[in-house]
Amino acid sequence: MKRIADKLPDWLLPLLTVGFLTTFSAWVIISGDQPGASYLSFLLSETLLVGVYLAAVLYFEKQNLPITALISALAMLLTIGNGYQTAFESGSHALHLCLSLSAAAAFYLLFRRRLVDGDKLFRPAFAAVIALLLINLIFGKGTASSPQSRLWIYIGGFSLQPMEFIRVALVLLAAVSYRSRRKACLFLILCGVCVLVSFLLHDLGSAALGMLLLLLDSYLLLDSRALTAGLILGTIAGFILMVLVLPYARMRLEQTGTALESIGNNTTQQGLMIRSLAAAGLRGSGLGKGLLEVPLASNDLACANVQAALGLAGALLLFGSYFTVASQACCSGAPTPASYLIVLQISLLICAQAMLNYLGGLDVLPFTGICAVGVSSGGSSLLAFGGYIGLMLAALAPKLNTERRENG
Amino acid sequence: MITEKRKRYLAVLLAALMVICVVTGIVTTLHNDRALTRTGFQRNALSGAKGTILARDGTVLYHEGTFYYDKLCGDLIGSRDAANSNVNSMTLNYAAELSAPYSIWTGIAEMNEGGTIQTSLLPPDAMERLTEAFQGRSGAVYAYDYRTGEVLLCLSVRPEGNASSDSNLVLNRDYAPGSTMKVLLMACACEQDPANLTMTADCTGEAYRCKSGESILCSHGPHGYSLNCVEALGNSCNCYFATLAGTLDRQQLAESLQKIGVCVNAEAERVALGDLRRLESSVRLTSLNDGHQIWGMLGQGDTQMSLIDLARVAGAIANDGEAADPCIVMQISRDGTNEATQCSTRRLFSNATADSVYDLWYSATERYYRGRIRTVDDSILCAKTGTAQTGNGKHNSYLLGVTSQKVAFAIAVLDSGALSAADIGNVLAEELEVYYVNH
Repeated sequence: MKRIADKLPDWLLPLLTVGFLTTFSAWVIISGDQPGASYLSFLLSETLLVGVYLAAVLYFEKQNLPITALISALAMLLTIGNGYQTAFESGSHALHLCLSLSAAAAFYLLFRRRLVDGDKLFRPAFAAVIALLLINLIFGKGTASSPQSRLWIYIGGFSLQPMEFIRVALVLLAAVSYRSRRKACLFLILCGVCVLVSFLLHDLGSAALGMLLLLLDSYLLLDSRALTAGLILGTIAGFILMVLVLPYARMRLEQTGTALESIGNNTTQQGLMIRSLAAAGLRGSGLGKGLLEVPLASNDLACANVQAALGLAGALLLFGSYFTVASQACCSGAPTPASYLIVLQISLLICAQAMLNYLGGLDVLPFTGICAVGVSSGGSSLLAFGGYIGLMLAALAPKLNTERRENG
Repeated sequence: MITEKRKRYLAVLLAALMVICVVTGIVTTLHNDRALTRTGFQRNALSGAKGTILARDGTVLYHEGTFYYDKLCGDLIGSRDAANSNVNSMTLNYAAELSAPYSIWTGIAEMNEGGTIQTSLLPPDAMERLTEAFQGRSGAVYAYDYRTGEVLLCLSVRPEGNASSDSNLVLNRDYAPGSTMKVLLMACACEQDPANLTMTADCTGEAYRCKSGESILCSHGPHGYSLNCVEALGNSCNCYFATLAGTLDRQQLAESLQKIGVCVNAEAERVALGDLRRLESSVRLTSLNDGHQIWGMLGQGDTQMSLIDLARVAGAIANDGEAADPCIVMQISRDGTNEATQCSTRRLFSNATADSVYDLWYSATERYYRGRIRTVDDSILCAKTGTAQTGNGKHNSYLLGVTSQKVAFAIAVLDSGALSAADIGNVLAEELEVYYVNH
């Protein structure tokens, strides 16, 4: 495989990616006839995406195939998401996209040198998690559709979900806790607190993702097998207990798999999604052409929606991109354990979020409202995704610098 | 500890996660699609189902998600209710016929024309004229060919501004049928013993007194003389029919009613009869000594009748005891093939009973209704009016009858005031005459 990859010209993957981005953008513009669509915003943001993509490929050394593949996959995800959110919903996503790309650049520039000696980042990251948790607990409010949850904080005309940013901070914190057992224990306790708070805030999705991080980091950070096993078992048992004890979590679990039974009366997102998929078949109904009232970008079910519109090819492209991000990030050889931890956690989070979103939309898993990063609607999620991209590239930067020196 | 072995494990975990996700997603999609296809997932308005539904004369009632005369048909063709909560809709019940064969690859996105259903309903302009005859009142008209089962009208009339529900008033509700029930009682009495209809009864100033001591008053009387069956039917004499009901065997009466499709001493449910799914008729019948239940046999009290059942009884009387089940779909055209549908016929009464009751009913109509119910070329052969009090001085008006076009009909006018169901019957007779002459 590597031999084949080595024989391919350096410009092939960037060319194919730019071709895809351009073709997809043209297709969206041609096929879209949605009222309220913002094609100008879409066109501008797509042009920006192509520009940023080419700049990133050039900056991160075009001969580094894993990095180019990683950036190409990220660009595809953002393009598909941008197509859905901007062209079929509103122009606000274009602004979120700009902010997200800016956040990625800022995180990269901020952490590319600091991650090598990350001990100094522990306290700020720890404080950031605590601060965000407190802000969420004190100021968190629900939405009209979900008044009991307290996931949102409102500042002026903007709303944010602190849990999205807490996950970014936790990823960083885990990475800088690697060298010290005390710090690792502190991190794991804090991660457990985050899971508990997520439950209290009625955020089952964040609780599940927090638990995944807790399991993964227990496995990687602790050097005692007994402690690791105990912590993993305790985490799983605690999670199950909370789901059974908390009425809203139990209700979510009980409702899973029932959307099809009452499909005639079902106007829930999942019911509509299942019907859209049935109407579209595996070939897809085409962008903006849903025969049913396909829930477009206004909800969280973007992954399943991509399949409804673009069919099996769309689903494979989407999950292929997620898998490329995860695999290329892991395979590109993080230079330090901290870098590896960052890349692995982000890969796991991205894949798990896509899985929760897609299978939640299909009513296979409980519907948690978790966004598929890069594709779903949601400014906080997209900003956090920018943070993930910046952190991931910063984690790989020392490796790139080494290669650059060796090549030079 | 981060070791190479652990790294490999985790890489496999991530890859497995993504593969599981895609495979589960595809399998679930296929499973859901199959399940939804089996249950006719297209539903109606919400889904924009394919296909076309036509009236008898070819007027389009529904085409690919658009309902053209939903105010006249209520939810018979399709529901305007976003929740799709009702079950009458033809677009729901015939979703498979309206759509082309489902393909798991293309879904319904790229299918060609859906199927076409030719119904037996009269043209919408006839329905509109009948609606106008209600003069702003609510009500329902059901008419069908009792030999073939073809449903000509299943008209639900709601005044403008009261269209919050599209629930069809023929299908979704029952009525205390008033004196129209007396025709049914005659048929049941004759089934027990033909001699019952040769009975005469006094209506000479005394109210009929039940064995339990309660009195049945005659709304048109006392007539002051002894009446035979024709006179009693023509005068709608409560005393006569209360006496008749009192002489019947309760068990046999219950069996006759059940044979007709009436739910006896049980809660009415929504049950399919032929192509229509209607709320069952129901009576309470535990003792014929009870005045309240005698009132029930006269169409008051706890008795609730579906217009569909009433018309079917009238049709059976006019058709030697047999009546076809209602059949609204005449032909289904799909993929270049035409499939004609046929409804089954059931015997509700014996031939002798039907003949006897028909003769009596016809005579009573001739003698007592001529002039009251204008018959276009004598097209209404038998008719019986009815009234049921609804409280606060309000009442509903009913008409049951058969016409020379072999059509049985039942009409209800809610809170009728000065308007009589007979007035609607006249318009109906005219519309039937016009349609059958022209076609």
